[in-house]
Amino acid sequence: MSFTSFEFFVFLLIFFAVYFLIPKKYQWIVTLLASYIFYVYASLPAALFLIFTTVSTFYTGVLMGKANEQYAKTLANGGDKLTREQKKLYKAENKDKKHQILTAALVANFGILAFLKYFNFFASSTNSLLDFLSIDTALPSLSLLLPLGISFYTFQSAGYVIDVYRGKVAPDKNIAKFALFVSYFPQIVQGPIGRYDELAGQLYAPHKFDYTRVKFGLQLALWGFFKKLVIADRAAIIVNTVFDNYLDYKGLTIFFTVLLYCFQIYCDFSGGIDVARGIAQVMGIELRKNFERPFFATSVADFWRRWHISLSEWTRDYIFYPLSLSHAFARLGRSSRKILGTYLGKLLPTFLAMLITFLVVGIWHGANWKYVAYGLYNGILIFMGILFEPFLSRVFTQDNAKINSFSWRFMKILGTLFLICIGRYFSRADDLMTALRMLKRTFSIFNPWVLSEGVFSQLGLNEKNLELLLVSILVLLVVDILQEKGYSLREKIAEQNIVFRWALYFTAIFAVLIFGVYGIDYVATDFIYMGF
Amino acid sequence: MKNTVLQIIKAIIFLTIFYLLFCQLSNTFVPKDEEYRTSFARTNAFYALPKDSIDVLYLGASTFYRGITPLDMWKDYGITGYVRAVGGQAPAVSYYYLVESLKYQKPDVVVIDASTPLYENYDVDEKEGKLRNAVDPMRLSVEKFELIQDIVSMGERQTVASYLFPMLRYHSRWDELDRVDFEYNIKNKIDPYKGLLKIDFEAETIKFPDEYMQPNNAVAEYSMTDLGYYKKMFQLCQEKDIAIVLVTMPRVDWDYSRHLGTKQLAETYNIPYIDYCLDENLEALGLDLKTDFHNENHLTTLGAQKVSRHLGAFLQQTYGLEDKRNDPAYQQWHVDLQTYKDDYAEAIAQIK
Repeated sequence: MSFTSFEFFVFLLIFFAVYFLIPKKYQWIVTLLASYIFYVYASLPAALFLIFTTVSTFYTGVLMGKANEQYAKTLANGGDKLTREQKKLYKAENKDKKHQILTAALVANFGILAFLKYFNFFASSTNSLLDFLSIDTALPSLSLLLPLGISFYTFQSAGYVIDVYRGKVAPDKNIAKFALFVSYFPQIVQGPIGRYDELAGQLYAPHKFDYTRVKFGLQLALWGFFKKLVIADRAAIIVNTVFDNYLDYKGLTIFFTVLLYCFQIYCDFSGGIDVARGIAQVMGIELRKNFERPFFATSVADFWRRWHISLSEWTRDYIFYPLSLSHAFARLGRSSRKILGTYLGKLLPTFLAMLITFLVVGIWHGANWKYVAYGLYNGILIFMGILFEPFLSRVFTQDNAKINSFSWRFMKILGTLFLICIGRYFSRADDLMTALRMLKRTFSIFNPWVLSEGVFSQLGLNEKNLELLLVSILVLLVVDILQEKGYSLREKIAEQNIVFRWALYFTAIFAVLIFGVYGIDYVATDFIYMGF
Repeated sequence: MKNTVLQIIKAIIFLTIFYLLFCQLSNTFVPKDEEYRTSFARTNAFYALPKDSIDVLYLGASTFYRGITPLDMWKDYGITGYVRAVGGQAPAVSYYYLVESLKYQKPDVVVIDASTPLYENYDVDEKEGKLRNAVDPMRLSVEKFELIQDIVSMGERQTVASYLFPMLRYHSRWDELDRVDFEYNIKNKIDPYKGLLKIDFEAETIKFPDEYMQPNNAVAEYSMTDLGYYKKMFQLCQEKDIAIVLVTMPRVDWDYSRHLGTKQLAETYNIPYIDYCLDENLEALGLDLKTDFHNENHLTTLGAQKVSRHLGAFLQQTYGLEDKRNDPAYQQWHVDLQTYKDDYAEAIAQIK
C-alpha cells in the first residue's frame, strides 16, 4: 500500500488509535504487527525474504555475541595463565571466527539481493559479451520477485551485523524486537537506512502521546505529501513526456526538463522521507535525516553529504573507510607515493576507494549500466573536486574577493547544480546510450527561445498547471532557504496565533487535496525510490 | 488533565471545520453538467418522499427515465411510483438501488428494465461517468458501500475512496472551475417529476428497420455478471413478496433474439414480461414516429405518456393497485402534478 493511497490512511488511523490506546509496553508489538501487515499487504512471498534476512542477521549477531562471551569467559577464567602471545593469538582466533560468521551472513544476504536484483542484468550483460565473442551460449533471463524495499532493509541489517562485529553495538537478544528494527513500516519502503544504535532503542521504548510532537509529525508528513503529490508527480508529467520522446526535443528543452527532473526526484524522495519521518515522529521515534537541502550544495561532495544521507553515510562507514584503511590500500598508497609523488600518491588509494564506493552507490540504484555510469560519474567528480578545489579557489577568488562571498558561493551552487543535472541524464534515461544521446541533443543547439514560445505548456501540463508547478517549486525553495538559514519553520508557526496557524494548516491540507496529482486523471506515480 | 481536555476540544473543533470545508469544497468540485445535476435532484427527491408512499418502483436506465412518467400514472390511475434511473444504469446499480429503496419504501411492484444492460458486459472503467452519476448522489449507507466495492472489484481504475469522497475524484477540475461551481448547491435541489428526467418534446423522426423484430430461433446470451444482479433482484423481491415486471421500452436497437432471451429469463422466474418492441405492443401504444421518439432508443414526453398510460393500466389491472387520488395523505402528489402540468404547458408554449 502506497503512502499516498487511501488504504494507507485508513491503516494509519487505525494503527495510531491502537498505538496510543494500548498499554505502552505493548507498543512495539503493535508496531511489529503493523509493519508485517503493511509488508504482507504488498506481497506475501516477499515477506519470506524479509523474514530470512531478519532471522539470519539476528542469529549472526547472537553467534558473534556468543563468540565474544566465550572469549571473555576464557580470559576471565584463565587469562592470567596465558602469555601475551597466546592472548593475541586467541584474540585473533576469536576475530577470525566472528569474521567467518559475518562473511557468511553478508554473503547470504547480499547474495539474495544481488541475485534478485542483478541476475538478469548480469545475464544480459554476459550474453552481450558472449555474443560479441561469437560464443553460441546464453544465460536465461529469469522472472524474479523483487521484495519491496529489499535494498533498504538489507543494508540496514548488514549495518547491524557489521556494528556487532566491530563491537559498536551489543547483539540484540529478542528476535521479535529485532524483527521490528528490520521491518519498521514507515521506513522500509524507501528509507532512511537506519542505524541500530540510533533506532532500535527508540523502537522498543514506550512512547507517551505528546500533542506538540504529534502535531509536528503530522506537519512534516503533510509537507512531504505536498512535495510528492503537488510538485513531484506534476513535474513527472513533463519529465516523462520528454524522456519518453527525447528524439522530438533538443537543446534547452531537454536541459530544463532534466533540471525539472532534479526537482522531481528531490521532492519525490525527500517527500516520501518526510512522510516516513513525520509518521515516526507521531509515534515518538526520530528517524535520521536523509536530506539537507541538496540544491544548496557548493560541490558534488557537498551534494552527497546532503543527498540520501543515510546511504552516503552507510557506504562511507561500511565501504569507503574499511577500504581506505585496509592493509591493501595502505600498501597501495606507499607504492603509489613512490611513483606519483607525495600529493597524487596519497590521493590514489582515496580515489580508488571513492570510485568503488560510488560504484556501489550507482549499482544500488538499479541493475543497469546507466547506474554504473551514474555512480562513476559522481565518484570521479568528487575526486576531481578534491584534486582541483584549491587551485580553482585560487584562480576564481583573486582580486581580494572573499572565498565566502555570496557571489562565489552562488556560482558554486549553480555549478554544482549543473554537474548534478548532467548526472541525472544517466539516472533518468532508459539506458546509458539514451542518456548519451540526450546529452548530445542537449548541447547540439542553443535554443533559449523555447522559454518564450510556450514549449513547456505543450509537454503534458496546461498553462495553469505549469504555473502552479513553478509557484510550488518557488514555495519549496523559500522553505529550503529559510531552513538553510537555520529557521525552524514548525517552531515559528507554533508561535503564531491559532487563527493564523489553523488557516495555514487548512490551506496546506486542501492545497494537497486539490492540487495534488493523484487519482484517475493523473495516476499518482509510486515513490521513485520504492523501486530501489 | 485540563490540558488534555483542551487538546481534545481543539482537535474536535479542528476536525469539524475540516469536515465542513471538505463538504463545501466537494460541492464546488463535483461536475455541474445536466446529467450529474439531475441525478442528484432526482435522487434527493426520492429520499424526500414520505416513507412507504409509493406503489411501484421503476429501476432501469435512460429508456426508463425518459419513457415513464409516474405523475401521468397518478393523474390517470392514482398510482404512485418513482423511477430510479440514470443514463446507462448498470445492473449492479439497479440492484443496490432496489436494496436501498426498500429501506424507505414498500412498493407492491418493482418494474425492472430488461433491455441492453442484460446483454452488455458492463465495463465499469469505460462507463465510470455513468456510475458516478448513480453512486455520488446516494446517501452513505451499507448498500452504497457494497455497490462501491462491487464497482471497484469489476474495474481496474476505480477506487473506494474516490466514490466515498467525490472530491478526490474531481479535484483536478481546479483549473476549470467557474462561477456556477461555487453558486450551485447540488445537494439542495429536488426534482418534482418523480424520476422522469425532464419534460422534453425534442423529437427525431425514426424508422424501424425492415427486419426489425423478425421472429427467429436465436437466443441472445446474457452477460453473466449482469444476469447475477438481475437474479438477486428477483430473489430479493420474492423474499419481500413484491411483484416484479420486466419491461423493454420501445427502441430501435432491440432484436428478437434478445426478446427471446429475456422471455426465457422471465419464464424461468415466472415473471411477467412486457416487450414494447413487439409489433402488437407498439400498435397498442400508438406511437407517432415523428413526435414520440427523442432519438432511436429514447422517447419524448409525448411517447412516455403513451407508455405510462399503457403500463399504468396493466399494473392497476394486474396488481389491483389502489387509487389514492382521494387520499389526503397524498396531497403532495396533486401539488407535484400541478407543477408538472404547468411546466408541461410552458414547454408546449415555448415550442409554439
